[in-house]
Amino acid sequence: MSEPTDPGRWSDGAGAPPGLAELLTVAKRDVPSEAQLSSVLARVNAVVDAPSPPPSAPASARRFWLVTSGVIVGVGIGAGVYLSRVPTPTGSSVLPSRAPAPLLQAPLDGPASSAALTPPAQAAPAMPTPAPAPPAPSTKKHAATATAVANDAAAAEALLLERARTALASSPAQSLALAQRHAAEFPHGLLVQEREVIAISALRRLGRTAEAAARAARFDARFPKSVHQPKLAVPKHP
Amino acid sequence: MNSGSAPSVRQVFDEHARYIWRALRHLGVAEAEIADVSQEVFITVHKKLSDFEGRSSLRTWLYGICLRVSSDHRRRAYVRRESPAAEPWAEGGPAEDPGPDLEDRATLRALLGVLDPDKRAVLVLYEIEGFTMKEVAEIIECPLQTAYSRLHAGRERLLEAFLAERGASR
Repeated sequence: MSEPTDPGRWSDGAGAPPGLAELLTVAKRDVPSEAQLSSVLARVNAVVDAPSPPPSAPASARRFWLVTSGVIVGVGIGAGVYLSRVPTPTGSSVLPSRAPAPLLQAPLDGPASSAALTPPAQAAPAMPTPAPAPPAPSTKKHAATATAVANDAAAAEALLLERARTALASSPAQSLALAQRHAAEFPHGLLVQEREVIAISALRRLGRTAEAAARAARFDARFPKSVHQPKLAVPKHP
Repeated sequence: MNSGSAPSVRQVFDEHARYIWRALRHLGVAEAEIADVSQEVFITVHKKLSDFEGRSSLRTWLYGICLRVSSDHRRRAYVRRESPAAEPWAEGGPAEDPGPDLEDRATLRALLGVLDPDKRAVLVLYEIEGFTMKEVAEIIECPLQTAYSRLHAGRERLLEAFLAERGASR
C-alpha cells in the first residue's frame, strides 16, 4: 500500500505515541450505519431521477399553479394527482406513481450504466413539478422544488424502513408489517430492494421459510445483480 | 470494480459510500450535515462520471470530489457564520451507531479539529483512508513534497493536541 518513501503510518502503530495509534485505528471503523447509507442513497436517487423540466416549462408551470389554486379545471390529470398528494402531512404517499428508479433497478453491470441514470425525457411518465410562482419560474427553482419534495418522500421511506430494520431483532412480525406497509405506501419507492431484504429476513426469523424462499427467489429474478444478493444467499428450499 | 467497463453511480455508491462518509466525518463535516454533503458528492459523481478518464484511480478521483465538496461546504458554512464542525458528535445527527468506540471516535474528531484544513486533509487521507502519499498529493492537487510537509506538520500538531488532552484528562 505505502510507497517505499512513505513514512510508517501512525494508524498502524508505526512511531505513534501510545493511545494515539489506537484512536486512529478506531477511526478506520468509524463508518455509517446501513440506515444512514440507505437514506443517502434514497436522496441521491431522488435527485438523479428528478425529471428535467419540459421545454415549455413556464407554460406547464403556470398550468400547475393554476390547478393548485383551483382556478382552472381539467389541466393534466397527472399534475392534479401529483399536486393533491404533495401536501400530505404524514409523509406517506408523497411520491406519485412513476417509473421504477433506475439507480436501484437497472442492472448493476449494464453497459453505459451512467446513461441509464438519466430518466428518458420522452418515455418517462409525466411527473409534473409544482412551481412556486406562476410567472416564468426558473429552471433552478423548478428542479429545487422537485428535489425538496422527492427528498421528503425519500426521507419518509428511509424512516419507515429504518423502523422495520430496527424491529427485526426484537419483533420480526412488526418488522414484516412495516415492510408490508412500505410496499403499500411506496410501491415504486426508491428502497424496494432494501425493503425486500428486510421482509425476507423477517420471514426467516418467523420460521416462515417457504415464504422467505419464495420471496427470495422473486427478488433474485427481479434484481439478479443486486448488491444484497450475498445477504440472501441461503438455501432456496427449507 | 471491473476494469474496462464504466461503473454505475450505484456501483460507486455501494463500494465507496461508507468510506466517503467516514472521510467527511474526519474532514470536519458536522454529523448532522454528512448526509447532505454525501448526497452532494454522489450527485457530482453522477454528473461527472461520464467524464472520468481513468487517468487516476476511481477511488482517488472520488476522494478528490469529496475533498472539494467538503471544502465548498466549509466555505458556505463560514459565509453563513456557522461552525462547520462544532461538536460534530454532539449534534444528534441521524442515528450514529454508538458502538463501543464512540468516545474514542469523538476524541479523535476533536483532536483533528485543531488542524487547519490542508494538514487535516493530508493526515486523514494518509492515516485513516490509507492512501499512499503520492495518491494524497494527487487528490489534494499539490506537489508530493508539499504533501509530505503537511503530513509532518499535521502530525506534530495532532501530537501536541493529543498530549494536551491527555494531560488535561489526568
